[in-house]
Amino acid sequence: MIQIKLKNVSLNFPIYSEVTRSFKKTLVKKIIGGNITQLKEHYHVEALSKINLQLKHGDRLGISGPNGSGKTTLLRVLSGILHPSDGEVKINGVLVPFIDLHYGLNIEASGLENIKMRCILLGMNFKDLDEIIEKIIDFSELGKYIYMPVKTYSSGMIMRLVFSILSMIKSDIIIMDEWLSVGDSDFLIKANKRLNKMIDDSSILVIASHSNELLDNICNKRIELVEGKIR
Amino acid sequence: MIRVLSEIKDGFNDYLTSFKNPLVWSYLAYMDISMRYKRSSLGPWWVTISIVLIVLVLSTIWPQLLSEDFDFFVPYFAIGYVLWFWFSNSITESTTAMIEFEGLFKQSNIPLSAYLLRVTLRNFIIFLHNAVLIIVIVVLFSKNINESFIFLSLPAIFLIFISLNSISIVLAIFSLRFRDLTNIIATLMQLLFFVTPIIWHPSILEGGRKGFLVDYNIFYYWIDIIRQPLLGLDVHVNSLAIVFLSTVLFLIISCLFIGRFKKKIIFWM
Ligand SMILES: Nc1ncnc2c1ncn2[C@@H]1O[C@H](COP(=O)(O)OP(=O)(O)OP(=O)(O)O)[C@@H](O)[C@H]1O
Ligand SMILES: [Mg+2]
Repeated sequence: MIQIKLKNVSLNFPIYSEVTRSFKKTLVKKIIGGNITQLKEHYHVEALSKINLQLKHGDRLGISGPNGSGKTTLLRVLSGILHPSDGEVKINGVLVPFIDLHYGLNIEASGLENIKMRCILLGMNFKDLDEIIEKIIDFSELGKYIYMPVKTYSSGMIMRLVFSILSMIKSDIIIMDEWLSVGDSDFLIKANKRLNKMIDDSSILVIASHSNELLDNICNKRIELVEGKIR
Repeated sequence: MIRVLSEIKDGFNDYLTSFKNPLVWSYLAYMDISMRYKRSSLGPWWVTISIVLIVLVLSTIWPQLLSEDFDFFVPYFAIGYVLWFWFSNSITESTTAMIEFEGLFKQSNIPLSAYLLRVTLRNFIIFLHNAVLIIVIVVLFSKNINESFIFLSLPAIFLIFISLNSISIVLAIFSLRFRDLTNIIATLMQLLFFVTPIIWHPSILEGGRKGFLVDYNIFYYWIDIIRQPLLGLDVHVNSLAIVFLSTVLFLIISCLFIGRFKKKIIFWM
């Protein structure tokens, strides 16, 4: 059964000052003694605090909240990328996160090679890859650029590339940080159509956005985060 | 104690997930090599060529200096050096691995061990290229290969792979937290090259101080168990036992490290 369940989830970002970062200094501190506890004390940013959440088939959850309220952090926890400091996370279903799309690209490799790597990272085998790769290349409309290293791409072209890959994955759960606006006007229409279709086909959608209008339009559940808590 | 056991179990499950989908890390390892040598015509063979040069040069000078037998020294050194090159690069690269993969790590939820298997495998692939040199040398110099190569050395290569991977996991985690470790390990590996019997034979140490350099040096056993049969000699009795037991130990320690730090390391990046 496809579902998401968060129970009392809290997440603290430890802040390591550059002082504690270096091995040498740690060694020195040990030898000198004293004052250690004071230096060793970490600061924490409490990004999420006691979040409870339960989502099932058909849920479209919209998350709103001011800057730094923990929206992206919550989405990363839902995607299994960040692990909570406390509490339980249970996620069943194939999940595609649309967060920080450009992360994890190899800019020395060509677009085509990046497509292959990303698809295999997403769990495909060579057979799946053969079936899907032409579709991805066609959709991206990158033409000959697909054989060029990604470092020669403009930021819009990078977005096209990653979006074309991710939007081809059949997923039960879609996690999205802000509605994606990819590419120029023509591509944007095409991408929006694709995104809407993906969302229709998906079982659960979680989207964070600053636009209440957007969230009202596509979501049937809403939460607001303030300082890491659900309000 | 219970906590330690459950961490080891977490780490073990992390490995299991990696081995359920080996395509992920093997494909990435292959891509790493093809990216690295994209614009060079000889690709990874350049490494082999540079090793051949070093072996050639040293083989003409060294036997005279040490008054060693040329026919013995050349294969002895070539095999040891190719193996050392593998171990040393594999370990050194692991200390920068997690920094190298930071972008991917923040995007993807593949198991932690998969990242280091990628590093260990790509170094193993390069070793396989260099192993051609070993084959050539053995054909030219060795009168007979000891049959223990099949049932000792080949399994040992697999065990060494697992050991290297386990050591890499521990070092990768440590060096993410303590950035100076990268330099410390690089220096240490250079030092260990001279300390390990590669350009010299342990027989010259016969007597008191042999222990430290040879008996407690895991690299010595890794090299010995492959080099001896190729030279037509017997493997020292306890080499296999030590290689096997240390692999188990390294594996358990690496499971513990994965279990304990897997969820924390993203905060260290
Ligand atoms: N890598 C990090 N290290 C330390 N603190 C972090 C890190 N990432 C986020 N934070 C902190 O966690 C809190 C929540 O951040 P988050 O990115 O989730 O906010 P957000 O709601 O997505 O904000 P925005 O609307 O600006 O996208 C903030 O206080 C931020 O400073
Ligand atoms: Mg955000």
